Amino acid sequence: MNKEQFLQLLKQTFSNAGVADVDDIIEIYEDHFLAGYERGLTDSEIIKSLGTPSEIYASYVEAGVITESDSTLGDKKINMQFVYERFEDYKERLLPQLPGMARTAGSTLLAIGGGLSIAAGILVFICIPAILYLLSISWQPFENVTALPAASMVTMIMIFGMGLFGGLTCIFIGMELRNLRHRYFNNQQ
Amino acid sequence: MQVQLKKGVMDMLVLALLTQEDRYGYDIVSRISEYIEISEGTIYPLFNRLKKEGYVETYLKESSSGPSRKYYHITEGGIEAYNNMRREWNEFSSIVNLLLKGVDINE
Repeated sequence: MNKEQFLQLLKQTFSNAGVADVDDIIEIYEDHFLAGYERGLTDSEIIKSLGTPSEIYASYVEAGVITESDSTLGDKKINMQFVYERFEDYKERLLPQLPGMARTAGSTLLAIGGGLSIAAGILVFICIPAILYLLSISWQPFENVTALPAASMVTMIMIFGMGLFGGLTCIFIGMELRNLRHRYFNNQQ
Repeated sequence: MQVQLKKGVMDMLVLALLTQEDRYGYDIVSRISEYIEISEGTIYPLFNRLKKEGYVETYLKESSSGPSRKYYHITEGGIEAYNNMRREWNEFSSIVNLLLKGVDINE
């Protein structure tokens, strides 16, 4: 092993452990080699007297003088980079489309809402008479099951009223939504 | 000799060498390893710690040959710390010697 290999190994040992100021530490040992050369020592003699890289690393840990770069923070940095990239991408491609998309979504929602409301109103108008009819008769579809008693006139009128106004409300809401959609979106398409 | 024993006195030895004169890292390390068997690479972190604790200061000085060297200079606080360490060491070693006296078992 020569000086370069030793320093490389030392650098790796400290880097793998996530030490922040690796270069400062490596510099110390580079100087050590230079000073050793001045005394006429060879690479192998110097390396032998220095000790192993892991031994040196352990001595730094023990002395409590190394700053370990937080590896989780490192990951976060990468993640943030990714987020920024995504955000740039979003700004460039998605943002100009957004008003159009919102418009389409709004228009679609209003159309669906209007249609559903009118359908609900019509359904109420169909169902209420059927329910009223069933409640007004003493209906006995199965022989061994007791017949449903016919509801009183007051209950029937209440149900009829609820059905009438409920259905009307649904239809009005539906028509209003369709008008709204027409007013805001049709003239701009 | 036990590694832990060496480590315990290493700070004091570094400071002791610096009370004589300002020295650069290699000088200190090689002087210590001349007398005590220790991996020279493991002495350098002590300099960082001594600096952190304010016991030594560093400055760069041109060397007659090659690049400028980082010299270590002991501070007032360092001298005080050294004197305390030395007193403790003297007390401790005399007690240990006292306890060992007369229990020298011949093999």
